Amino acid sequence: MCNKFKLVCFTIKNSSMRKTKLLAYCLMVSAILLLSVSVSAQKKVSGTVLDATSNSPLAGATISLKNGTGTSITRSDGKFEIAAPAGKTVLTVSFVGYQSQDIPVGANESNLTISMTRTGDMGEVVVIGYGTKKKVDLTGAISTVTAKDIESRPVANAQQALQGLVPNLNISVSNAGGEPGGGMNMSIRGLSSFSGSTAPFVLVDNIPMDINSINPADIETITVLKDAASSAIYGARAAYGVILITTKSGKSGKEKMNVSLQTNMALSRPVQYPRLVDPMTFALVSNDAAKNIGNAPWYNQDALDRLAKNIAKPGSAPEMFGNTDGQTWNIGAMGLGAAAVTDWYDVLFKDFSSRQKYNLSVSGASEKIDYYLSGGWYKEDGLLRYGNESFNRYNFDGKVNAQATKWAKVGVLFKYNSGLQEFPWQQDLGRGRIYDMMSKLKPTMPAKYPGTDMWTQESRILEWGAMRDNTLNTQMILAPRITLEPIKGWVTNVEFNYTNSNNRREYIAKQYSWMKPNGELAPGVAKVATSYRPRLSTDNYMSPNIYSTYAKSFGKHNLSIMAGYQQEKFKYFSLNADALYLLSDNVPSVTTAVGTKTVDDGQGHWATQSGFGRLLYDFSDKYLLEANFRADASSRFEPGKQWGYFPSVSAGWVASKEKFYPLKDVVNYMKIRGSLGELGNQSVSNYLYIPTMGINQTSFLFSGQRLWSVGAPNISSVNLTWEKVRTLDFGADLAFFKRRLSVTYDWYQSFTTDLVGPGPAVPALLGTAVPRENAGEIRTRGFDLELKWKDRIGNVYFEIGGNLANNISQVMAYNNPTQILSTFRQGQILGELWGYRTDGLFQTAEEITKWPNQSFLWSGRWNTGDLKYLDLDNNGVVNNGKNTVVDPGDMRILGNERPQYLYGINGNVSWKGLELSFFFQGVGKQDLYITEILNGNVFRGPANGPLHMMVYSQHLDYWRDASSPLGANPNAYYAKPYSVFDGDNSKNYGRPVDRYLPSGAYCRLKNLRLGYTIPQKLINKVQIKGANIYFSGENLFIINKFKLLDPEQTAGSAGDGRIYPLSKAFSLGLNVNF
Amino acid sequence: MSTSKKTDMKKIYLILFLFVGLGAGLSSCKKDFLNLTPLDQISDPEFWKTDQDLELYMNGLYSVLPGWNLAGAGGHPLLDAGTDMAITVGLFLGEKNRLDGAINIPSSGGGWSWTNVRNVNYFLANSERVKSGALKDHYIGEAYFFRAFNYFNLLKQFGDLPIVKSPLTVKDESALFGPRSSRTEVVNFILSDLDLAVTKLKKKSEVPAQRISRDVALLFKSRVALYEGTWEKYHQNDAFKGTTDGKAFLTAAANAAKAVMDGAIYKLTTGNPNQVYYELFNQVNLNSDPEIMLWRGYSSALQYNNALSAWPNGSGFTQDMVNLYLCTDGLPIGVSPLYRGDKDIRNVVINRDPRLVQTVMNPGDPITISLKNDTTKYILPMLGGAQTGPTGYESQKFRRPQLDPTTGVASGEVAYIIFRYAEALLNYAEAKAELGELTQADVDLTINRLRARVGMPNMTIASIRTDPNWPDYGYALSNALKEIRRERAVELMVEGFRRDDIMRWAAHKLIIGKRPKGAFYSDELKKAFPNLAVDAGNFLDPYRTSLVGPGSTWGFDPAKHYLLPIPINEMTLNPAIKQNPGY
Repeated sequence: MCNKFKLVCFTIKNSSMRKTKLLAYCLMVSAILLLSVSVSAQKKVSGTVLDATSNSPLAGATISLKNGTGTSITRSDGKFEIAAPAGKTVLTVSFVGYQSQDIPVGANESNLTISMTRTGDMGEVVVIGYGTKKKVDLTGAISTVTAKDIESRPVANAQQALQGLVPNLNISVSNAGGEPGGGMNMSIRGLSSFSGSTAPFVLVDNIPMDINSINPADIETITVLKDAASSAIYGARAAYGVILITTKSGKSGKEKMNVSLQTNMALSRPVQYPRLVDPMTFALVSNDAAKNIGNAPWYNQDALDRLAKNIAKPGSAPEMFGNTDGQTWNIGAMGLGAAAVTDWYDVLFKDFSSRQKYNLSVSGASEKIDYYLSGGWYKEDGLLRYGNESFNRYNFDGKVNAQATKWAKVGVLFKYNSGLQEFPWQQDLGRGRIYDMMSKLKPTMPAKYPGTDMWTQESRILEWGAMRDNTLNTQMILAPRITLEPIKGWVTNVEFNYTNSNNRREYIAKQYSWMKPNGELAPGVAKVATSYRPRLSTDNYMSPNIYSTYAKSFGKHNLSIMAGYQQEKFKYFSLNADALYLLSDNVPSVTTAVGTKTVDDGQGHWATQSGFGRLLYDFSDKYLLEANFRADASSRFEPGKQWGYFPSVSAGWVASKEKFYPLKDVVNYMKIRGSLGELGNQSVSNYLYIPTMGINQTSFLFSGQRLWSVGAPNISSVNLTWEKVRTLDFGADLAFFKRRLSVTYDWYQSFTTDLVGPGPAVPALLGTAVPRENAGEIRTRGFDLELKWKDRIGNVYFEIGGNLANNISQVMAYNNPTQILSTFRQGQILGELWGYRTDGLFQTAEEITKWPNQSFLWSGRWNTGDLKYLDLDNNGVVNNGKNTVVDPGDMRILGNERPQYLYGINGNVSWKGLELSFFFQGVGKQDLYITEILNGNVFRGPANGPLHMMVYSQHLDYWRDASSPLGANPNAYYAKPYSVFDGDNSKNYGRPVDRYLPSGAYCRLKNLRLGYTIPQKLINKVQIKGANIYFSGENLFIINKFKLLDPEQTAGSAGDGRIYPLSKAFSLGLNVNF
Repeated sequence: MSTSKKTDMKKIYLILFLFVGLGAGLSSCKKDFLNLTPLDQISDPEFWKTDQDLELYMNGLYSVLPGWNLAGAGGHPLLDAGTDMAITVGLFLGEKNRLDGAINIPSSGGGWSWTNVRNVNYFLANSERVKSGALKDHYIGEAYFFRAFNYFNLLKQFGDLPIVKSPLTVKDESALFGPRSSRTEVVNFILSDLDLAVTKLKKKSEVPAQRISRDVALLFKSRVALYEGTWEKYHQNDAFKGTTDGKAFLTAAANAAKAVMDGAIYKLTTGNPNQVYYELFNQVNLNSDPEIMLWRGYSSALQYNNALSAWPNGSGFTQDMVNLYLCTDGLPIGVSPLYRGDKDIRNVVINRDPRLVQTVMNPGDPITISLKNDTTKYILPMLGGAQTGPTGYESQKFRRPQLDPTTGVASGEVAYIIFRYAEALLNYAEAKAELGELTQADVDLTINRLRARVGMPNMTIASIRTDPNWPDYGYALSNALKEIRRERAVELMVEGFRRDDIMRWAAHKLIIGKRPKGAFYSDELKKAFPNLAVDAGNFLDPYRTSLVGPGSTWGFDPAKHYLLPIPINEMTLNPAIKQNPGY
């Protein structure tokens, strides 16, 4: 009966099921509640299958006999007939997107009416920590996503599929950008910390895992536990929310083996990558920037003449010259001053790159055994034409479950995944700098050496072939499970989770050549510097869990108690070797390298011990109560500070079930919920309380050798203990218009106390970082809202839904008596940007002399075209006062860089076999601070040093006077550009200013899908149970104000063009069930 | 369900066993399940056992010693770039900011960093835990040297400093929130550290190559003492003064320098006068050079290359620098009949102190010598680009034409000289002259040795010819001192001394109202590089619009820019710290 490896699995006899309503029971219980069953005693059973919401017939639903052979499929009017043995029998009804049901059929029954509930409806059972619960009985803030919401999307991983689906589950592009196999950042409800990760805790089948290690095709449901009361049962690891993923398993009761095949082929290209202006404009802008700093022009008259000739007739004038020594080229920085005409976008990017997805699964069950085996392959090629980037992931998921005795069930889960990322690499700079280097390429830089077919060194193309970064991640999970039910209602689960993760990364630097002006080939890497640098790491995680649940009903009182114990131990070990001087480029290995070899390792471990318990109570599904308690101990704290105790309680009232409920016709369903709970967080580094001394190699060479050195320890952080997150949540679940509209709303407030962060600021005389302490308190307030409208017009079924969430985090306590702005302070809203207000650009020299003194901001010369900063405190000087809240000088809070009002809008329309669905995702409000030095290179364009300079069309709106060949532009957006790395540009771009905080709000069509389910009568002949073909488009368009950069990609180091662009993908997919 | 009571009990026992046996057993069988200590790091209590531990610790402190920018930095500006002797443009334009007064008041950082001092103090506080060992004292001596070295760096930037002798914790509030000590006290503290270093450090022959030895500490002591001695003497009447007239420091400087000279462990490198000077500075390994006291190395094999090979590194010498060099008759260009004028970059080096042609690139000098021994020659300076030399005088010093045999391109391995013996001679001569005690014997021991090495005539105190172009320092100076300062500038050109010298000499008169210029813009240069900016005298004028002062002259404010500003946050956090004058 237990249909899968649920965290709580009760083995219950069929006969005892009808009346019991124990809350923690599995799927089948709720399914039965929704049935209206009539019985007849015939050899043929017949009936109609209807959609529970619309009461319209469902065609193509599968009816099978639970204890025998025989299958039938409903016709277009929803009717079916099936031959059944005489006497009592059980039918299983299943249909894609609906809850499967087991229907006991009496001896004498015909004209059954079976109402099927769509997954996602109120009747659904959801996975909660260490158990399941009927959605109607939920008292916490929980969102669920089912396979239907994420299937058929041409995405690499579950994160990409989840983005925007769950309110307040914020998934954003990480520094990996859109690179094949790259992960994303994830957080729930904006909960904040002073340090450490705020990523939610992800469990797959109750095993902690990286969400991206899972094949999205294996996912059955995803539950997001948002409030403290819901996640409290996971205690130590769950402070920032929990994501529970349940993978598919063999459906019990289905005798037949089900084979499912899913394929998807996609073509992708960069969704947005800025294009350089034409070479002549580029040259003129560059010369303006050089003139502004007092330099000679980058393009002298001769270069401009040659460029003009080459534009008119390619190849008609020399593109580049060698220096007099014949050894190096005179091409300035990345082609600044050369005279070629190169469209680098065309050179470097493929027109389309490909993605492929295959998944094959076999599942089924017999009376005693159920099984699910699945294998998947995902392959994604990168966007670069010559980069040979790729990501290959293989997944295997296996589950076998056996009913060993009437009261004992044993099973095992086996998961394996491996991901291989292959990328070009740059010695010293790493993989991430490839796009940085590309952003520096000038349109006048030749792609090939004059008169040859050899790529220039600056194009990096030859280097990409020689320098490689290959990463292979493999993970194996072995998880035996025992479920015991000696007495009805008392279930004990013994679970053991073992995870072994291995990472093998190799950096390879082979030789490649570039061409000197004298025609000689020069090595790009010296033979002695060729290298092989493997990094091997292996992690072991072991966690026994044992928990026991007893459930009992007394009339309408339903009670369930659970208690359990868990411990975890994690150990990591890594070996890193650097071996120089490859004897042969063809065989890079440590052994075949004959130069300097070094090796080091990394080892560490942590452990936790926990006890937990839960009480569930409800009266007639109307009054609901849940209480949790968890005690955790972590090795990350010093002995004596290790234990933390975390209680929680939540309650709900289904008002619409009351007899006196007056609104039944308008608000068909109403539940009011409330929860309060506390969680702990141990996400601090291991061993912080022990003073450790770092071991490094010296940068000073002693007789040509780097010696080892040991450094001073930081001041150790003694007395550290658990961070605590206490969350209060009020929510309501409502349904209107005959349940066509459903609404879920939650308001919450979290206090994170004893936050681990840097101690109070002290003078720099300390000479090291202040030790970390449990230093502060942050309050986060926010809401989640989910709306869904389901309806049909004739044969057209449609569903439209949306979600919206926002939160604000504020520091409520922090020891900062001076209120200095360099660290946290009481009252600070996280993400707020302090900076200066401005009033346009200087137009005349006279204006500069009359303006308040700006020398605090820039002690050098101020020129026309520079920013005018406002002297808000009217003291004649623009400065930051004492850099405190009390005296911030002329600084003010200008905005907030945290994304706010995140939303998603999705919908689908189906008519007969056709289905169209769409999904928009967006950010309502965000101030982008991307102008700072280093991160703002792309934003500032020509206002960069020569190497980093670039000119995209937006940059042409910069200040210039009439002496520029491009004409005067006094009312420009961008200040005067200086051709210097920071220096004079820091006048205008070194700090947040109101002028340069563009809006990061956007709305993106993440997915558009058109699917067609091939009619049953066509495929029945070829022994296929179901087939669906679809076209799907990803990231098709975006609505946003700030056009220069992809607004999803401006965070972190995105702004300097270092990160891999996201892609737009067009895919064709096929799902077949045999 | 129809199970007998007996079976039920069996099952219950089984489950109880699972709970007790598994649950409790798992946790209690290992008492220390939760008490985990680091597996790959040494914790402090396990360290500090032998003097090898001391060595391991000290090795790390050597990283604070100066060196070239590393490969990938785009080059390395000439060390005196941003002074009256040399300038740079492009990537390294900011080098000029210190003397140009383009100094922003930072909120934090800005050089006010105490990490290096703490690292030494942590060592000194714990080194006594090591029981004994042959080299224990030596490493303690190294530590005192490094504390002095780090303090001197801070002193040059900020003047008065808090004196901390122990590794502070957040609980040491009286120290953390204390005031600054006067610069005189700070220098006395530095010198006492150096005295301790001298007593503890071993001699060069007793320690491995490239480690600090006793004479290095002595030379450094003379550098610090000379710095402060002249600072306190010439800043006596301004806001930056110390508490003495500087005499005691000058005496200490002379004595320390003399101790190096008397130790006779080092001597000047000698050789062909027309090559010896140039070849001293472009070596890859200086271990066997008798003059080099401490140097920093680079290695292609370890992929630890410097960026110095990006010649001309955006840098060039000024015409003022060239004019400083005497003619081979020992007379300045203003009076020597041998002077050939400055209208042709080929002529400026003729009949001049041989150190000029060995410091400045001259047409015909090799740029690269390939592995096959093919030589490419310098024809003309590279001009007109923002990364080329701005002045027409590119550096010969530190340039190594021999291509790296492993890469086939310019070497990124040229050594960085941290201390060399010649400085001891110059420090001694200057200190003695400042004290008014300079004798001809002193000059012969010092200046004249340097001159003799390159074949220049001796300097005789009694018969120094008046140079009509002697710079105006803004105060009276003996002729001998004027020539000693010239000698120092020439000998130590672009070795990183010039800015410090201007500061300690209170020599703002050398720069205020002026702008550094390049070479004469000859027709030959004009033809190769047209349309370059020149001044009224037709000299290259790359800083025509770059400097902050009136008419694009140096923006140095003598009431302010002798020191850097204290970061805003430091004064907010510790009100006992006051801002430096003028900011």
